[in-house]
Amino acid sequence: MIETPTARLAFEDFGPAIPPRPAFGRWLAGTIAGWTAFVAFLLFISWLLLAIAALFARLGPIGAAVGNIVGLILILVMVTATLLTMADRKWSALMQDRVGPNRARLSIIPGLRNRPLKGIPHVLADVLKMLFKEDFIPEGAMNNKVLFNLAPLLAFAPAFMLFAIVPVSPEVTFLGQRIQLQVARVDWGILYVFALASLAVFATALAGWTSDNKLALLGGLRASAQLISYEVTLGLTLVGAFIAFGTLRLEEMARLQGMLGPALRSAVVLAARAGDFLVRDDSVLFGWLPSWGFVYQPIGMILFLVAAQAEIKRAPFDTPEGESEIIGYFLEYSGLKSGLFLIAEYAETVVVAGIVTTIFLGGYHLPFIEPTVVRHFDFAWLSVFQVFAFIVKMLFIIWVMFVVRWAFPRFRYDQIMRLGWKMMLPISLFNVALTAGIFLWAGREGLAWMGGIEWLAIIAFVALSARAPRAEEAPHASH
Amino acid sequence: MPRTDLSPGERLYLREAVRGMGVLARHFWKNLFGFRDPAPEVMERKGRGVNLVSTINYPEERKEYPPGYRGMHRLVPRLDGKPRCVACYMCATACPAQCIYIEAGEYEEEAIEKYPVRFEIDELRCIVCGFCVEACPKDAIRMDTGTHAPAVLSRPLAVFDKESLLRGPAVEHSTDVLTYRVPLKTPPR
Amino acid sequence: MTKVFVDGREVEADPRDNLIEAARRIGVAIPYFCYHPRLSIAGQCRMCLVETSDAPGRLVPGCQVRVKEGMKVVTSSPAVRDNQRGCMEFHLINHPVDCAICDQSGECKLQDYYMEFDHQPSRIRTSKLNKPKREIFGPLVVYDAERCIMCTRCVRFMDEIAQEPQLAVVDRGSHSLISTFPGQPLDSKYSGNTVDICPVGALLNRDFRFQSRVWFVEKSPAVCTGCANGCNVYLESRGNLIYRLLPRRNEEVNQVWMCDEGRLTHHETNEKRVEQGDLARAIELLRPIAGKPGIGISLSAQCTNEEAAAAFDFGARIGAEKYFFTARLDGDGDDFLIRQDKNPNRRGVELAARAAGVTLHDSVEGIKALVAFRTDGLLLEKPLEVFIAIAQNQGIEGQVTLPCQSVYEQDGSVINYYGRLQRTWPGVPAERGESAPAWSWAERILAGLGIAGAPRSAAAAFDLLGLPGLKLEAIPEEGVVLEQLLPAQWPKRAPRPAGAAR
Ligand code: SF4
Ligand code: SF4
Ligand code: SF4
Ligand code: SF4
Ligand code: FES
Repeated sequence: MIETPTARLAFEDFGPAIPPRPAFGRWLAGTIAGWTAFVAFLLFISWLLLAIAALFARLGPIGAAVGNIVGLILILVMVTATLLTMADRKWSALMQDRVGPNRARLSIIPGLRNRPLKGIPHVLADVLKMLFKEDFIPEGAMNNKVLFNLAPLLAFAPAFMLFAIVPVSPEVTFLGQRIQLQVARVDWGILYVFALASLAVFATALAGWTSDNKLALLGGLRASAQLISYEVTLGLTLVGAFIAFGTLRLEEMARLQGMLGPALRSAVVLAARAGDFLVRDDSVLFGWLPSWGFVYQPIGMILFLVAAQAEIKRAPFDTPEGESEIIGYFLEYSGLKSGLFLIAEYAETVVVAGIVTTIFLGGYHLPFIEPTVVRHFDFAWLSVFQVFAFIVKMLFIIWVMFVVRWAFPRFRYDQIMRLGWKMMLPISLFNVALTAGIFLWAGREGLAWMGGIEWLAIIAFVALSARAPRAEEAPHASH
Repeated sequence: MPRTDLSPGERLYLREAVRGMGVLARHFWKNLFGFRDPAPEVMERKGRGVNLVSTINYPEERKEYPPGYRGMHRLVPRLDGKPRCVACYMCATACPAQCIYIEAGEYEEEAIEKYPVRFEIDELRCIVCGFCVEACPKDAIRMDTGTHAPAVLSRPLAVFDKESLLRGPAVEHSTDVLTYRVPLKTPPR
Repeated sequence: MTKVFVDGREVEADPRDNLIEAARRIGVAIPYFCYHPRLSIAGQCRMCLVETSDAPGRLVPGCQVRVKEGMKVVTSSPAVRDNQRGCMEFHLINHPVDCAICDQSGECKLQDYYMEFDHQPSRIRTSKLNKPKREIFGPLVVYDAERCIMCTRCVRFMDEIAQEPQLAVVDRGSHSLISTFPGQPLDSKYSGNTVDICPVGALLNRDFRFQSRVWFVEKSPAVCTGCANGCNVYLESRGNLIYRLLPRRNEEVNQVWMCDEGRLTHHETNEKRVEQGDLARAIELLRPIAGKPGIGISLSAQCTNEEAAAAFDFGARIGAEKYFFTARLDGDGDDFLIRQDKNPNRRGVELAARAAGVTLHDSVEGIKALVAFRTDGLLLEKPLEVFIAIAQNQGIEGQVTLPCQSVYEQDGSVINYYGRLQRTWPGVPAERGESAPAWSWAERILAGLGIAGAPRSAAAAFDLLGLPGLKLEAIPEEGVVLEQLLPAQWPKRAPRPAGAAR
């Protein structure tokens, strides 16, 4: 602190310029309390989702489906996507040593007048803004008003529908009802994702075209080409997973990544008889590795993440938007419709994270402790923890996607095409062939070995790959 | 255009890309869990467990202005609370923005017979040059408030009158007593 | 003519000149406080000391020593400079230097000379002497003994010029101060001049005190409207206000003095003014009666020559029947500057009437309608059908009152008691309301009635006076004596042109 006569006078007159430093202990207590509250909140949400599903399940099979739609799509996806609009800004701020938006206040509520509340009210402010902004339709779009209005719906609806096949919990008896947190259990499982995901092309193409704006059209064109290119890779990357799990159904895939129900039950019974506190998780590979999808399909998981990022047009694959160059296919949209496009993007992020969690991160499974939990609680409690685990895993994948978004500069259009067709497609084809071969030769055990070796190879490759020359070392720094 | 000066390995940028994500992740977790030090000295925000965010959340947090900062004006009170100003118009004369308006009046019983009946500064016109402070022969106007002129909702509100300018600690110089012939009625605060 | 050498340069000086005046002829300024060309020599301040060839090695007071043929004067030798510096230091020993409060600052000799000759910090480490401050000497003058440098100019002025010895030096040494006599305030009619000649802020004008700073006001020449003497003055004004009047040197009218009453005449210009007038209504009122009998014109002795000439021109064009002459009442007069006639331009109005060939009546009667060019002294016995007043101050209101500019605000000329034609200039920067010279209103009324040809400028109105060979613009700053108007008798001490009757 600089001590000057002026500063002293100003202090006497106007009080300290610097707020007192918070004590470290208080900060620690606050942090712990905050994170505990967050975890408790997530646990409560998990219970709530299950409870809603159980409540609706009393109304019969249709009611069960409606309950899942309400719980998963309206609550989980919608709220997460809405909060992600804020999280995107706050997280990027944290990654860049900024504070992020923190000015909006809930000044109508007494007592909260001057509290930034860490910027949460910005979500409300954004929603209000989207709702009350003028719904402007450009003159050129007047001829195609229906299509122009249809585009945001086409972007919005599939994003949410995608989540229908994602299993958030195992089948469980909760509050006396047999339920599973999954909207639709269908044979064609993941194919539904591919089918609906390609619908997004219509939204972008329609938006770009009906806007009657050359930049929007350019954005629409880029989006169409990009989406179609990456759909191929997207599909092929999962073929490996189908082979490994032997099914297309996501709930099956999730189930197979942990202990199966009967095995769990008998293990618990045996442990109870023996009086063991801990119960061994039999699904664990080699005694320590959870038998999750990423073990069997490292290449598949990485490629899927990349392709999905491209598929939902998020940075670094955001040439269709390219807000610094062409603004994007939704350039002419305003108000709520623009908001639909934005929210659709975040909803897609949630869905992708959900699918990745289900296929590659063990879905709702908790590693190691599942039988122990059942031993000391029951299956209903286990399912609450499992939903919680699913949400946490999903949030982690979303976070990874955001890190990727802020770490990479936007790819050029030709680079996207080259990456898609010339690198990812051959690699995923190779992955399919390799997975199939190993599976025929050595079964799932063999795939686990292959996965382990592949991980090591990838890590070694990254570690040994050439370091980019530093700016001062580069002979020609200019492009 | 493919860059020809990079080897294929370098062109992958793989390691750098992973490293970049690592940097972001490290900053993220450090800032998320770190102890946020609101001290505005940016250079000090280092060390273990300390948040790297160096933003100052103005106005909840303020950085102290450097010494000599020209803030909002104040009319310096004497020990008895009256303005030191004797309405000599030096500040109004020196002011390049002509934003000081003074009307002089006369005290009945004091040795310093002249005082400002009205003393107004239009803080919107003020260019914060500090000439008025330099010009004042009585140390009666200062810009040491450490604040700047507040935002106002209409232009007339930016015209600060004598009552709102007269604030802050009183000032007394050793030479002042020479000009007091009658003892001050109010004891020093 | 006596030839002397000032700082090596040859000067043709009057044999009666002292060294200060001789040096002034070639632009060499010898500093002085107590010397005043119109007062006796006191030799009080010692600021004017210079070296001469007559007294080598010694310093002589430049105010007291007369020139001698072949004398060599040195005004800036080290010895002279040293004396000036020392003198300043002495004067400032007990001086409070409260320039921040002092109204004199900006035109203070102490300030000027300090910057020029002294320019060193005070070496005094003891308290300054406390003396009476803010002593009310009289209606116009306030005295601050601490600031006084005892030059005695004020005392000498009261003795010699005002010839009412009301001030004196009392006490001794550094305790001496100027005082009035017990029970006798400084109430001379010329007391304001002591403020002007006081070189410091010891005597101050109570009317001007704390109203403005002297560097904010603009000086412009004018002629005082207080009485028929027509003293030459400077107006000091800012915005649409006049802050004070100062005498302007004219050896043949007022020398360098003016009276207290004249100093306050600017209040009429500042206060209680008519500001707006309804010209359209005035025209409407006059339209039905224009050219019909029963119209009278009145004009006051406060009108400028141009306004008077325009009034007669207006009457001729509108078909006026009678002309009336009004004036302020006579007041006190004396044998120096103050005339009994308190109107600045009685002679001018009479001259204009002669030029227009009309007779002037005193009391307003026998008419139905009246247009008054300035309303000073106007008395209406009974209400008239139509009464249009062109008035400067509120008070006498017509059915329509048009705002008239004061003499200080307009271009024009006046003729004083002694037949001297003197020019006035617009001396107030900002306009007050709709006010305009009376001739301008006359012209606009006539134009509204469809009558063209009235004078549209002060110069054009001046030409109606029938003064051959004279133009308004050509009147010199010190005025022109109109031989035909010279009085036969002059008051005893009145300043007069060389060769005028005693
Ligand atoms: S800071 Fe400068 S512009 Fe502002 S009031 Fe003072 S002199 Fe005038
Ligand atoms: S310069 Fe100082 S004393 Fe003079 S008027 Fe301004 S504030 Fe008052
Ligand atoms: S008399 Fe002159 S020097 Fe003395 S206080 Fe007044 S302005 Fe300053
Ligand atoms: S009052 Fe002024 S004029 Fe008179 S003696 Fe003092 S300084 Fe001189
Ligand atoms: S002017 Fe000569 S002594 Fe004062």
